[in-house]
Amino acid sequence: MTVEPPAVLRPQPPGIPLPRPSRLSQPYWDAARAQELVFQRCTGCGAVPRRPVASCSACSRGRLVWERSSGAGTLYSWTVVWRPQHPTFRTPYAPAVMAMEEGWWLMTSIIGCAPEDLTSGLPLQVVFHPVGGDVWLPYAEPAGGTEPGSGS
Amino acid sequence: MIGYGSAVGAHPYRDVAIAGVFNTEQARRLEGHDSESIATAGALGALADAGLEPTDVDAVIGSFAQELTLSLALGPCTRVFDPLGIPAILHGAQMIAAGQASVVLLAAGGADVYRDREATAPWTRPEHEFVISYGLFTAAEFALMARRHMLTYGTTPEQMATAAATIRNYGHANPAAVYHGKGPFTPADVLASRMVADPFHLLDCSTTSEGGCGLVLVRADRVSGLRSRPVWILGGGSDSFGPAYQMAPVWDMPGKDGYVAGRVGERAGQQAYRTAGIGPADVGVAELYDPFSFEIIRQMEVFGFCPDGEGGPFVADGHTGPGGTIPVTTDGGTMSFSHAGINAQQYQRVIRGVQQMRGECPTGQVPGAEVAICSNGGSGALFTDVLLLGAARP
Repeated sequence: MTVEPPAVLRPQPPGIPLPRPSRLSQPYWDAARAQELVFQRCTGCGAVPRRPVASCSACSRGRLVWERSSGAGTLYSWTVVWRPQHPTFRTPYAPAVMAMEEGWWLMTSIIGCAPEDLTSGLPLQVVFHPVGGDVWLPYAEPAGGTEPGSGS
Repeated sequence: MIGYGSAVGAHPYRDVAIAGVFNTEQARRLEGHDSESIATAGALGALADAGLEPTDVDAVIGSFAQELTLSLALGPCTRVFDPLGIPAILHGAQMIAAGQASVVLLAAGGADVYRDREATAPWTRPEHEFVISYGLFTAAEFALMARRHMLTYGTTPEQMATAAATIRNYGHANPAAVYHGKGPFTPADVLASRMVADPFHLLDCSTTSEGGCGLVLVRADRVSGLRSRPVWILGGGSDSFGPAYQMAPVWDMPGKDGYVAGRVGERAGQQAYRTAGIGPADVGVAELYDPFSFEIIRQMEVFGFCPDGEGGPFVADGHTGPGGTIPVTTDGGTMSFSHAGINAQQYQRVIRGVQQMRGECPTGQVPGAEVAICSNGGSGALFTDVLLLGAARP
């Protein structure tokens, strides 16, 4: 196993596998490129679908609109990965589920702290990093924290 | 809530018997085989175990249904593309119950698929846009579910390690297992193996291997004169909360009727018990899908073997091992017996259940077990399928 430098969680360098947006999700990735986090909400019942959909998965009737998220939330669940899914990933990395303050869940990855700093309910803030191919990926870092691993 | 078991009238699977089961050789690599060839060997072995010929088959189910129809000269034959395990078996049983077939062949196999050992197995790498760039793979997805159980109930890595060591020791004793003789393992051995995706160490995870298998279902009036003792389907169910590996796996994601994603399989288990007219206390052996150690703890709760949140202590107390109240995955499962990736390992939970009901397991036989529960899937994949088998006709 490769010996890693001290385990501060950092964004992945360009070269990792990139998302292929769908027609439904294109607004999400366009907003991300502008470093904005957006999510769909139903104008009829207020529900937030689990991922971009054409009709509301809760009421099947309302119109779906994209809203801007504050990017604030808390840590719901996480793992720290030491065996990469793909050789281009730098370990360790920490895929996580973030509970957004608007009432939806974001799949993301934690940066800017050490794996042992991760605790349930940790306040988090979404930050964007370029990962190549004109894709900006939403990561999450401890709210108000510094980010020792950035820019590397 | 809708169940397909009927409170009055005949049992839906009364006329369906599992008459043949077979596992090919299972190995890390099976030289000279690809997935189709090893699935074909599984199909032929299952027919031989039943004492039937390919010409007896009138329906074939699986990823290679068309290829088997041609290569075994089954035509004209009903073919069903179904890449799943237990749901495919239930489909075959329903075809017999509906009078559409009298002999149904199911086969699967995986070989020569996993070549690039620099990364995790290809079927574990989700490509969906909302997970791909976060480096998710099955261990990480399931870890996100296990973490919630740890936070909510205090479940520990030691308890998970006990679940893994118990199953791996069944495989250690099983001459047909890929990892036969590689143990025995203690929970400490599991905890000492390298971390893959916290809380899962290497030995908390399933292995990868190659192999094939097959099953034959027959209408009950065909069992007399067949080669092997028939085993019966008492009930089954299948639960999903959506596509696997396409979004954040969230334990508390609500479903209808109060069910949550983390407990996926709960409704399916209840359906299966209702159809069978039995409860968890009637089950003698559990051939559960074991992609990760935590999933055994989870299934003990979801299928009603212990109260909610107590799966960790239940496993740590030895209930799932030899001589325990509910021995689990007695051939070594995907952790030790085999995990060929292309749904053979799903059928193999049921094949082992059949062998238990026949009383023919050379190792790990549970004395006196008359009902087996078998499962596929897991929380990180957002689906769980359940099948109840019995030694006696329902």
